[in-house]
Amino acid sequence: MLEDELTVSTRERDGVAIIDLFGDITTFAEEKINNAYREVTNQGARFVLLNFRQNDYINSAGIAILIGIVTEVSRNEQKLAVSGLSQHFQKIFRMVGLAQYAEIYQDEDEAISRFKRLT
Amino acid sequence: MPFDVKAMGDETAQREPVEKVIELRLPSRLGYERVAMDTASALARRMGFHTDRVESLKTAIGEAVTNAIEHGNQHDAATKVVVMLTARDAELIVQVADQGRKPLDQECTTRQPQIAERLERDDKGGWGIWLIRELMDEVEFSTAPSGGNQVRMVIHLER
Amino acid sequence: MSTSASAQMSIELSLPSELGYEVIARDAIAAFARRLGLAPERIEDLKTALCEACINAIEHGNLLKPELRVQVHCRVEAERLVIEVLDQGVSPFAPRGEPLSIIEKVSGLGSLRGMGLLLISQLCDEAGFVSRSGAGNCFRLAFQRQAIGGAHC
Repeated sequence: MLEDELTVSTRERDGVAIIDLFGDITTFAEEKINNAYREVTNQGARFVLLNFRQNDYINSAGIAILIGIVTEVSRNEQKLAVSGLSQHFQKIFRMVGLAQYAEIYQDEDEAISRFKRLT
Repeated sequence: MPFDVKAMGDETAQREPVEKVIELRLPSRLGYERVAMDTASALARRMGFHTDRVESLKTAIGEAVTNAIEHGNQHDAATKVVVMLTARDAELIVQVADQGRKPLDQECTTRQPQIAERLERDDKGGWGIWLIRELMDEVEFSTAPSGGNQVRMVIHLER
Repeated sequence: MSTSASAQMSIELSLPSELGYEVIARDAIAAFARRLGLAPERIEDLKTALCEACINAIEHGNLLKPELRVQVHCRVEAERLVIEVLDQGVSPFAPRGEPLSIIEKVSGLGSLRGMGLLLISQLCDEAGFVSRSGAGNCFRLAFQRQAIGGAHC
């Protein structure tokens, strides 16, 4: 009831695997996010974009899940970026240190155009 | 309607000022921390806090209540988490208390996690209390006489 | 859902008995109702009704004494969201029959105030005072929960 407020879907755009995350990133998000990541990885994704949409609530349990993704991304030699975070959560990502491991972009378009240039 | 804490106190100015406390009792069930976040955010916005400060407050209170549910009350449905919000002229005080099914390890209250080290470990967590300390202006952990864990957080209103 | 389970699913909010705090209760409970999946227009109904019920408790039940408290208890049942607003009953509610209609009021019968109860009764699926052990009034509002989880999307 109050637990499940996240919808995760995947798509591809210009060679970037986009994982759209609608809703809250808390402990309940773990399976959905990990499944989506595994799915794009199994399809051979080299560039993974976590596209946050309407994420009103990301907590420390959610951050732990994202650090898990960072670990997998470096193990699988992929590149990771995030987009669509509010100013507050961009700040939190920088505080935690996630910004060292994932490029932070304002929105999907910026991510797609600039993320690719790093290749 | 503006929520002017000062104006609301005018009628009682002659008397001993009554501390204006909002108390919220929540079931020890994950998800209910959002009720505390929404309530605190409604109060803080009306007190005049800037949006980014309201967001920080929401994150901090979410972490405190989640800790109380998961650790302090061990998800025991028979227990409650009590949140007290006290609006003062220049600050908002948030107190979160659990029933102490498990005492908080005092060492966790001062630890500073490092992401590089977390990447190597299976446990990627442990950011909650650190976040609270980073985001709030004053933070104090204590144990109630009953054995419950308590955290008192203060956020200052900058005018 | 069993009674004990729904009791565990309840939230309790306690406010100073002072005008202005009803909006905090309104925003808190509205956010909760939104998370439970109540439709947006029902949430608007809930917000208006809950504010009126809290103002009644502050002004009439507690006679604006700021040291008194207003409690808002919110219980999630399988099909309903039940909200009870409790005051400390300095002034017990005296039933005066059905509230006057707008037509009766405009024609000069009774006070122009006191529209709160009429408004509440039209906005909720259930609304009214319920008997309560101990001092104080208890006003109950209930809303049907439908289309949970956005089944219509």
